[in-house]
Amino acid sequence: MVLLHSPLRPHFAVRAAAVTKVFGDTIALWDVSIDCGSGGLLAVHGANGSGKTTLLRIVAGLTAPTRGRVAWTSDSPGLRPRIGLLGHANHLFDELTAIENVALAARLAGRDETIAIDLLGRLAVDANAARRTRDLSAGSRRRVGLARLLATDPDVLLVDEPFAGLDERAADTVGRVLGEARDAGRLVLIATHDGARSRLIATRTVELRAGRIRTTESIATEALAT
Amino acid sequence: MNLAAAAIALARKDLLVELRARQAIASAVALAAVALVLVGLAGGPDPDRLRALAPALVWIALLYASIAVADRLERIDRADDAFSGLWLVLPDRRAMYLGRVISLAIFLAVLQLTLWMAAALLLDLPLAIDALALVPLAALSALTAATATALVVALVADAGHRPLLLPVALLPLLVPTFLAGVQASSAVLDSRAGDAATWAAALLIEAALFSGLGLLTYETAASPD
Repeated sequence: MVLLHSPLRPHFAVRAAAVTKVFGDTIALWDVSIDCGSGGLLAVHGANGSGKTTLLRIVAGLTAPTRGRVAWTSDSPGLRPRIGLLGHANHLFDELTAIENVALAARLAGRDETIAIDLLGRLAVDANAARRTRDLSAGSRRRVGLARLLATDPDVLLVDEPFAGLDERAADTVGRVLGEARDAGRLVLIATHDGARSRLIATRTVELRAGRIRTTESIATEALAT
Repeated sequence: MNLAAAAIALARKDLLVELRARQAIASAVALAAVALVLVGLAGGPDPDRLRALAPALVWIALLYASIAVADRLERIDRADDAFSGLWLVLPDRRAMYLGRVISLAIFLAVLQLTLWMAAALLLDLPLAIDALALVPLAALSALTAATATALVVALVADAGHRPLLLPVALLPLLVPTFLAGVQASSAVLDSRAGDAATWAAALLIEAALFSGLGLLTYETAASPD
């Protein structure tokens, strides 16, 4: 049985209602509605330019929708979720080492910096801990970026293309870590074009095409991988 | 993590990144050294004339350095969208402004003292014991310049022509700082302690105004959307 909500963490839910985003003459999103709660993993599928990244940034609060709204609710009234984002970029400082990047994020989130090496280990990138991130491969940078995200202990993880640029083994590792985050009661929202892999961990999938939702699919929790 | 601790952590990051890359400081020091040599040659061997020119020259180099260092630090934050990561993790985003003020102030104070030493050497400037007052003055004026620069660089960060827009937006704001700094430095070099204190007070007031404005408006000014 998968534990979908840890009783130790507050429960959050997000509802994006009729969200539209227009950039100049380009419609990035049109009347998109999604919802997800803690312990759930919503995978937004779609080709390049389908609006996945825009949707993630709107949910993160980094981009304002042209129309519609994003509302957060919690079982602890007034509590706002801590949102973590791993976007197209990795949000790393090139001149800092992998461990310095992760430790800085942990410190700013008020956590013990020593978790940095553990997180890098969980993502199998601890061998590169002392190297500057500018010298790492794209796949290693991606995993350091995810370690940085986890170091902030977010209630909500927004991850754009979590498997991009990773080999099979690294993609399995990232998938496992995201599944663990879901099981630990985080709300996880990923945008990916790797539908096969994301279906192993998602509780629900949404297909975006040209900024519009085409299909929605719920996945039985018993079928999920951890 | 409280506001001050977060700001210090971010300032430490800025210092570490620039010390490793050494891009902004290197270009600022190189330009300042060239300017000092050229002015020394153009001004001739008259020590009184060089002494009169030195404060303005040091401050012009400092203004350039403010722009170069601030732009470089902002580019580093935006390069891998590290800015968004910081924005989301910090409960109080004013830490990003304060952190940038601290790191800029340290860079500019060190640079200013380096420039004074270079001026003493290249312009044969006779620095007496009174010139030690240049040390706290450098710290204060660097802080004043940093409070304005950190705010303006956040305002223009997403602008399409940032390298052009930054000096256009920043330099007018720094004119009072420039005037007060030049006057205070001249007063120190001429051993006019009363005048130096007056101009230092003006710098302090400017720093208070800019930092107040920065703390009040940073989150709106720097918002990623």
